[in-house]
Amino acid sequence: MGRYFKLWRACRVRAWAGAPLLALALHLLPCQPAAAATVSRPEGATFSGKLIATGGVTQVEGAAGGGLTPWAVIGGGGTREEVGATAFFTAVRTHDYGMNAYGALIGLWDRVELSIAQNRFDTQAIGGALGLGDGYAFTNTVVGVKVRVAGDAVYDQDSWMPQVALGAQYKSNNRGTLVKALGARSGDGVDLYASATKILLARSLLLSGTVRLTKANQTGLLGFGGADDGYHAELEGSAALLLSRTLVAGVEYRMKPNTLARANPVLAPEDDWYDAFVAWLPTRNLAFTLAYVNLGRVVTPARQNAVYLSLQAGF
Amino acid sequence: MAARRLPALLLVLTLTNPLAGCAPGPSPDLYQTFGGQPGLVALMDDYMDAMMRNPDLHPYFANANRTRIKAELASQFCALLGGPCAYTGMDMAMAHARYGIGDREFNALVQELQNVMDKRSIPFAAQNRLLAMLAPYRKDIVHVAPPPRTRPPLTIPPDAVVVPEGVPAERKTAPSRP
Repeated sequence: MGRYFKLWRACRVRAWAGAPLLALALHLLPCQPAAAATVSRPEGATFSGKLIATGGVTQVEGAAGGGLTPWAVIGGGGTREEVGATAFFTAVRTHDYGMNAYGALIGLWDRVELSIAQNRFDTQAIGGALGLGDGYAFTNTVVGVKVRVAGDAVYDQDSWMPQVALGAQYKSNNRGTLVKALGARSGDGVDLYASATKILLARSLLLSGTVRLTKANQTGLLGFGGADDGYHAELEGSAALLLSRTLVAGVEYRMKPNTLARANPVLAPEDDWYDAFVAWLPTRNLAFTLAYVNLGRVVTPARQNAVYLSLQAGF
Repeated sequence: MAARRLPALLLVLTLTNPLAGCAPGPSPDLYQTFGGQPGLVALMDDYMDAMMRNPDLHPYFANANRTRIKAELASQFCALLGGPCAYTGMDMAMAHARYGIGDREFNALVQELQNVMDKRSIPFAAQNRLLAMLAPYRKDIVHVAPPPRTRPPLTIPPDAVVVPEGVPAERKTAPSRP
């Protein structure tokens, strides 16, 4: 028994250490013991064995999910015997602001997802009006981890059990001094979340809900905390119709804590976000998402309606 | 304020739209959508051809009795869809126990079925109703590594078997036939 545990552990440690060279490492160190009999699956590493579109797209903070909110799915094309990875670029444009998000994630054995992303929020002319200078930008770096703890969103069709995942996102804002001057308590913080995602296949419907514990103002682009420095439980949800194997359309909602505006009445209140999206996943390696997003008020009283365009590539 | 109710409205529309159309589960209508018995037989012919062309699946079917598998699958699908059949074939777990089938191979199987259903113009919603009934079989068919085939070798320590006294130590020659 101990021998098998050691073998398992050795394989696990190598795979973790080799993350940047994952593809190479898995070719050199196959973790599968040799097959003994009859017909069996290939012994070398394989990739992208997941059903098309079941890894989701990438949300703005870098986790696999919809556009605004994480889902319980593990990103990338890897099954329980494989690893996968994706990279994404998302552009969000409102009348007054621009935001670009980009990053990458790796999915390990359909169990663990590690992600890194940056959100660059460009205040454009508003920055000049506020005395920060035209095009003043906030950059938020997000390091995320997500672990699938139970269920399978796709295959558990004989029960109501959804796929459940727990996640954390560490976020660090490069304008810590400024956001603190605006009334935030900190320039960095950690979000903790639990997501449950269920595909009701017989109805071609996907439902997902997330509870997030957060202190972040505008996902952290305006720092963390304000009127108080406590965690707020916020709800996020997605509902989507599977229109074909490669086309998904749906809506999302994401609640926000609104603590900064309560500390600094000069700033407009922070509103909940919602969107309507269409995602097209023409192959198992590519995904395009187009959305209309309502970001509500951001700093100024004007409501920000955004066009959201996202590209994801991976295996 | 109306704008704030928009997402709720969209959510309700999204939820009710598919619910209004069709009920999940087997029904004679669903069976007819698949073309009844002739439709299922033709579907299985296409399906087996597609699996034989798929490099991930070919090894599992190359030496199998494909005619029998096709007939059993047709009767199983007929029963699942709500047609006038009862599946009397092998238990799914039993039928697949000796194969090392992983997620990748099972997903390839699903995708080939989707491909042939597309080819036969079966509507996507009807495809998903069938797939939802087939999905629970995954736990009977797939064994995530290490699969049961890689059992530890059976080893018996030399002193585990005590030979009782009175038993001849070793027979030098085979007994000659009379």
